[in-house]
Amino acid sequence: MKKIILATALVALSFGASAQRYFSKTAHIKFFSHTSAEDIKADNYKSTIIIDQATGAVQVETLIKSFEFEKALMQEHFNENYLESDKYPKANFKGKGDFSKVNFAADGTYSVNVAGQMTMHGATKDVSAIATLKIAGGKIDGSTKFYVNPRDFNVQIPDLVKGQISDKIEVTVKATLQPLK
Amino acid sequence: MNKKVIIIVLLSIIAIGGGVAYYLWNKPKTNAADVKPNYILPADSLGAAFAKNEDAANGKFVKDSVALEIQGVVDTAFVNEGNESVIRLKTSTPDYPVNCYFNSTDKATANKGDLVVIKGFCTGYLMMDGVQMSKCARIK
Repeated sequence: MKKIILATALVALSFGASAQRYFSKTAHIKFFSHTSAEDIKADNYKSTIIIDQATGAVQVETLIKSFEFEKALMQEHFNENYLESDKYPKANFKGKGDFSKVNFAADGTYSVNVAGQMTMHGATKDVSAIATLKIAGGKIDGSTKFYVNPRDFNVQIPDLVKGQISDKIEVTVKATLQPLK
Repeated sequence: MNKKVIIIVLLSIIAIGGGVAYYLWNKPKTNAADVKPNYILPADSLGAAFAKNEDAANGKFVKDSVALEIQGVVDTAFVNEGNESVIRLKTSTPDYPVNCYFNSTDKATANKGDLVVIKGFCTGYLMMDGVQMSKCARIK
């Protein structure tokens, strides 16, 4: 009986030692709006992601002013008229992912359901997506894609440009994660 | 005569309007090199301000896109995945370094330990990464 308890304790300890947090400070968030009138895209390579393997917690944070557009004028309008980045400088996601089947120590590709709340422009909405974790040679690449409607986040789009901005904006997130020591 | 004048005036307005619209649409991305700074301060003070009260620091240093001139010691310099040069300045608040991002068209290099002066626009504080500056230009 003592042996069983000891073995159980050792397994629990070894799981605790291997379960850890992973992060990226250079996550790439891209959004893409497609309409028949115009395609608009913006990239941000300065976002942070942290995931906790044990609790499943997933947190993403980005600064609105860090999104880069092809045109300076688009970037100005995005910050000043739509996202009001002076008033709401950050967007974030706080949620949970099911990492129970992910072996971070071995090569493999895993699909992980992630669900939580995204806050942007002062509004918070439920968001869910399937993320892919690709582990190869100790490198952990994560990616996901989901869609948001700007109106869900109280982003006012003037009638004049309504036809140029999609109500289904594709958001792509990519990051190479490192163990958090 | 009157009709001719009206047509010329209208055509001039259309041409000027079109020219202005074309310029605005294609205006290049600029950096902070030629902008007079609203605040001149050490990187240490900027990091400390965000550590003390992020909302207050956002109100002072991020709102209205004020320009900052920052002096500090280089911790590291690298090029990120977006092809942007980054110079990270040390501060005495460990989790609040100042990360200076340059436009992808502006290349910047620095060595660890260099004392530098950089102008840019503060975009806020990002968890785990520190205070962020964009459109930077190295002055010294």
